Amino acid sequence: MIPTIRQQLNQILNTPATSPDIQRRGRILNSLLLLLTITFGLAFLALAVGWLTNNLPTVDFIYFTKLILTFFAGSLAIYTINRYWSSNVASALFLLQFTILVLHSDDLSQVLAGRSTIIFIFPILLASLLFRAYASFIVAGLLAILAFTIAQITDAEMFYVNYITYFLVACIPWFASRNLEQAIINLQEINQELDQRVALRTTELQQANLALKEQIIERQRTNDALQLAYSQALVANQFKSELLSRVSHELRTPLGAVLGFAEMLRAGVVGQLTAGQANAVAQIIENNRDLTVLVNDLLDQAQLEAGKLQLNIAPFAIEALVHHVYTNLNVLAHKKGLTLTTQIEPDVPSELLGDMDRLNQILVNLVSNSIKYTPTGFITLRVLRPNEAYWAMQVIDSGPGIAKEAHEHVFEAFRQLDGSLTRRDEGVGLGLAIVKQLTTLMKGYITLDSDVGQGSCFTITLPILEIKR
Amino acid sequence: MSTPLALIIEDHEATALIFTTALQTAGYATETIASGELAEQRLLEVIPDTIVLDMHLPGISGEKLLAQIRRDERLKLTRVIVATADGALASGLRDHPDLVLVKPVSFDQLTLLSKRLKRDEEK
Repeated sequence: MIPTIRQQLNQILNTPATSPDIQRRGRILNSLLLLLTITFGLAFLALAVGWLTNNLPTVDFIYFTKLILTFFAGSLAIYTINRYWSSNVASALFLLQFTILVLHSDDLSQVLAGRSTIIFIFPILLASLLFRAYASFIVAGLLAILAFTIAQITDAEMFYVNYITYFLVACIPWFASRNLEQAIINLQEINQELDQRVALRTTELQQANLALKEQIIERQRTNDALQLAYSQALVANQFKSELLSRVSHELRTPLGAVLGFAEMLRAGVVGQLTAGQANAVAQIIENNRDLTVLVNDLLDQAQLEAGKLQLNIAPFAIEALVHHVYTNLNVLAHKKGLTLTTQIEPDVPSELLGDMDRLNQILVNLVSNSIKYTPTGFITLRVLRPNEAYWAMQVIDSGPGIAKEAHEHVFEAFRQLDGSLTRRDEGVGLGLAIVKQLTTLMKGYITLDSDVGQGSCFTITLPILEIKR
Repeated sequence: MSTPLALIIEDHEATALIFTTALQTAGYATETIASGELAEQRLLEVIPDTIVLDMHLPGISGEKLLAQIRRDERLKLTRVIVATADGALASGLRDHPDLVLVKPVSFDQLTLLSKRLKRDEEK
């Protein structure tokens, strides 16, 4: 790209300096030098024309030409110094050269008398531009000394008012330059502060960025650990379910054999028993039954947890289900002196769709639970229809009831309620957990209405499924 | 009238003994077989009145054996009592047994039921 005249001019005028203020002053000096060079160039042309047209004597022409050439040489030297060494030195030399120049403008006596006031104004004005603001006063002082010295040497008259005028004149550029200087200093301060702030913010940002990166890495690590723990837990759970399922199967065979042999003994197939032996056999059978229930519960729980338990949905008669539960458990209730009653509301369809075995399991669980925890009174099994879409089974007892705080834990696996009842009636506490899970599997829900001293009412609400014929 | 024959197909020795005793108590003559293959062979030679069949057998499975029995014209009068630990599996069988007993099978129950089956046959 070809640089424009303006760019070229800028290149000539600019001085390489670190401070923008020094650079500005250097540029002013260069501009002044350029301006004066052009002025003197034009002046030389005018002189040349005057000399050629015989209007100017040759002696004068030579005198002025020498002066102008001296000025050119001085200016070149000042420019070089300004550009490659020091603006301050260059400025001082410039003012000196300028003063010498103005001293040549007239007779010395004339200069000192009145014109110096006007002529000396220029270096005084320029001093503030080229140096710091107070330089005008220094130059005014130096010029006053110079004028005084010249006056002494030439024995001329002294004009004290002039000296005072120098200082008054110096006030004008001093004020202007000082304001400018102050503004620049302020600007520099603001700049510095800004730089500091930017630096500070950058550091803060970098730190925040670093912290964020660390957080991300930490998150990733936690995530990985969680993922690992989750997959491990899945495997462990799967293993537990399979183990439980296997163990339960393996347990059931010898358990069945123990029950079978005990029943054989009881039936007298292998010989008549004494009363004591019969009693012992009865104990074996009863405990075996408890154990069988427990193993079955464990197996169910394992299958439910593994999501392997499948419902066998078929039409069934509700009356048959209720009757089955009643005949199975009435003996047990009767033995404890409890009254077990059943009740089917007339608006319940006589035939329903569902897994009768599992519904039976639910009811046996709930009713035998009630029998277990109710010391005296009654247990009622009720079937009702709360609305068009649902049917429900309720098991109500006159037992000690369950505190409201404990309701949420009742259906958790392997948990029993605290209190004296629990300790007396041993059990793993799987029954209600299985009931709840089976109910959920059947797309129904279980609710408990109970409080201490008020008995309990468990309600299983299930959707009425359409029987396709 | 000859004593009816019951075939107990069960690999667990103690369980087999209980089943055998129960059917003997009910008035059957019994034979105990511990594997699917042996049962398959024996069924070519005899026509039992009742078969107690375990579902988890070594060799030929109980399910397969049940299907063979049901397809055999000679055995069309034979009653099959299936004993299984898995009630859901038994109710899902394609070939229906006459009775399904979920393990652990009660001695008393098996005695009672096999007596009832015998009475039905005698009618």
